[in-house]
Amino acid sequence: MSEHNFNSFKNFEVPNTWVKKAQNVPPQKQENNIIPFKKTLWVVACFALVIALSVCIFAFNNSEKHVTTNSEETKASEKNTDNAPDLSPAKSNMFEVPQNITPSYKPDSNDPTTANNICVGEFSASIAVGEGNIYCVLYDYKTGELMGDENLLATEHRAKIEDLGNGMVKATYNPVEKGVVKKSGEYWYVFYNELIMSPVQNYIYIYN
Amino acid sequence: MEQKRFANMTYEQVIDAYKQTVAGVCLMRLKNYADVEDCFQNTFFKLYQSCKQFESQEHLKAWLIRVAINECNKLLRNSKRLLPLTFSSKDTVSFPYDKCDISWALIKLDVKYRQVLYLHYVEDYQVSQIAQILDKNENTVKSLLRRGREKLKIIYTGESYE
Repeated sequence: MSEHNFNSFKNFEVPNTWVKKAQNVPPQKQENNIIPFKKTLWVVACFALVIALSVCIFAFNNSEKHVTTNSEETKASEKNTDNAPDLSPAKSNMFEVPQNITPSYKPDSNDPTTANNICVGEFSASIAVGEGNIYCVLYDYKTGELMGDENLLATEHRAKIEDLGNGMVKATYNPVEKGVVKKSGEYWYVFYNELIMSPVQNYIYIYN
Repeated sequence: MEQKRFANMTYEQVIDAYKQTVAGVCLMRLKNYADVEDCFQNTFFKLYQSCKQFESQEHLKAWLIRVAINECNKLLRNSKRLLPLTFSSKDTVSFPYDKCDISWALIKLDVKYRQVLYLHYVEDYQVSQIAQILDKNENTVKSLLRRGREKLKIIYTGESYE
């Protein structure tokens, strides 16, 4: 390569017009305090990203508060149950005691076949939900006062179930044995499932 | 208004000192006089707009070469012009055929060889300096130089000028 050269490049005469044009920098190009367009775009993009992140963090914090609130409520309600599903305690007026019903019978305390103090109900087996428990609660027929635990799903309200076949079950409940009713009198009993849906309600006279 | 200075030179002094270098780089890349002029102007305008502090004149020269190459690449991307292999048009850059002056052969090379050979033989840059200017690995530059020389030799020994 030593015998060769690139003099055409080295000796190229730059036209004077080119030099003069380069020297006469256009007025607008003399400004060096204008923020370049690309830099401006970057700044705007970063700013938008910061705002978007802030909004996301704010929304996340708010959703956390909802979850926390819900879990706190769940914990509070769980404390009130005694081995029963998570339902808030039913009040004494959960089931309305009908008024002005003339009892169809008043068992004779002298007749042991009638004075057995057992609440009985027959209904479709489909009424049993959840763990399949059926419960019974008694109300004072005259005052409407609920007998026993206000929590309608407490174990003292749990009835015995007998499968009758053909899709029917028979529930029985002795409130005297359970210690729910302590004095003789007129009562209204209600059989219900874990959803507090009542399949059977009736009048009973308890001897104690 | 205080005059801007670049490596202790005024803007006009820089143009005077490096017009040959910038024009040569643009000629090597573009081969069309109108485009060469545009890139020549833009390179110096970029310098004027820049707030860069140059450590030395060598630093300034290397910066000018880098910017000139970038301006040429940008123009080529925008216009999608291809480098002609013939010199039939009046507007195209042409170098006469010469047994000694092989500039005409250089511009026939692929751009990746053309750049490194130009910077080495015309601007007298070393491999490490070329690697810095073109932002390439030194081994890559050495390889391009070696292969570029081989291809250039094929052109100036094997082809006749038409």
